[in-house]
Amino acid sequence: MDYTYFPGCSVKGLNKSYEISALSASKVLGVNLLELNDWNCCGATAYMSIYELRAHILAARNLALAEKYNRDIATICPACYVVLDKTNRYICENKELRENVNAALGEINLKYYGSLKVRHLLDIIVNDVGEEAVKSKVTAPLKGLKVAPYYGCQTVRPFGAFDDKENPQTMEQLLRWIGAEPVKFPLKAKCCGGMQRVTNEEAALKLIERLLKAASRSGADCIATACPLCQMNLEASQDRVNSIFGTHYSMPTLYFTQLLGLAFGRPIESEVALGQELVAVDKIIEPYKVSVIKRER
Amino acid sequence: MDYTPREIIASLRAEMVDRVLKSNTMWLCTSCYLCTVRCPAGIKITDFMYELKRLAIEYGLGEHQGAAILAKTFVELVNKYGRIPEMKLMATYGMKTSKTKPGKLLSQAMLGLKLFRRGRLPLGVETIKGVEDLHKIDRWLVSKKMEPNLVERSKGGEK
Ligand code: SF4
Repeated sequence: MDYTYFPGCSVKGLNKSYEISALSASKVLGVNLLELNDWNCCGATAYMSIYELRAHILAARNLALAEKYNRDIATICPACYVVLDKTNRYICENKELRENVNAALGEINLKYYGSLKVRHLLDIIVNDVGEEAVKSKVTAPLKGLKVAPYYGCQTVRPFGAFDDKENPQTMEQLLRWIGAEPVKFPLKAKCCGGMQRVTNEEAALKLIERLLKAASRSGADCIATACPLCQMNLEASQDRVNSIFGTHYSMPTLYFTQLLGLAFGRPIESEVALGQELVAVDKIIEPYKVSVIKRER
Repeated sequence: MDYTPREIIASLRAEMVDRVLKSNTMWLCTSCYLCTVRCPAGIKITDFMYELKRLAIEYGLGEHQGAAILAKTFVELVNKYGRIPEMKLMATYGMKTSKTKPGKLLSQAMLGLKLFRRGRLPLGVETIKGVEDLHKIDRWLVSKKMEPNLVERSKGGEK
């Protein structure tokens, strides 16, 4: 299964562990992620706050570059996913926008015909790969690992292309396939505060504290995320939250792809990309790591 | 938040545009799209918040909002490199707001240090090949007067 892979800036920067683990898990599952050559920043939420047309053009340059391969676009960052998907849809729905974007792209000899589909890796793994194939690759089932499935906002909103917009289920499904135990986590599709952690910390920390509280109360050993911004906010803010709210959170926050890698028995550092956490994960991965080492001997 | 989204819509109906554009409401919007999927009238409220941000910038009413400063910095960096060097984004934002939020630079630096210790800080900054293409489009947009140029452009290619 081939896809045109759009990584996005974040997983090339502070969140490389997401990309490394995503590429590794995809490879195990026969999902071939072929990186788009010379992709540009999708624009995230920031570009659209200043410019509308330019923001669409920025996203559309990627779509136009990808179109010649005629494969679905695979993203792992939900912000990239929504931005590219939104421009893709708006261009198709709105003739004037399409013409303006293409007139601009014409200046650099590109044109976007609107033939592509933008997908998130979670969707691809659950719906294209499927239960049987995922289960067949599990060598170290994550038995007994309680996981709070955290989708964040943009994995499912606004379009809800592959799951419910407020009560999604795909990550729970996937976690069960690899032997883990998803806990009930009603805040699973609520916002982590996004970039407000930088621009309005007070507001963001309130949201983050709420999420950490809910995850702790649910009895989860760790949180699984599908978003680099969520991962950073939830993990890197625990010190701040603890000092401001007088709490004692120490909640490991991993990418769902890292849990996949663990269950697939992949090398812990080079492929599961563990070892750069700010909140230690040793305790929770120990039981599964042992079985990995045993198997490798 | 100065006004809730409901109050924003009501204020605009009452033609209190000034009050709306001066508020911090849209700058607190994270684009979580919860309102958009819930709105019974099908209003794309998140898109509407983007529109308010752009208007506030255009009329020079958002200059002091942290999220506006960050967004502008973001645009500058994308225009320069074609991608976002995250550490540079944080550092530039910290510098720009160091007068109004002196603690910010320090707390960002502390986080940077923690990430560095864990081996998470990326090395250099990459510039894409297509950055000249982006500038070309930009010049064309300006020449066609299709969109105002609100953020100063800087030359690409620098490291
Ligand atoms: S998208 Fe809507 S609900 Fe979410 S932060 Fe923005 S205005 Fe609020």
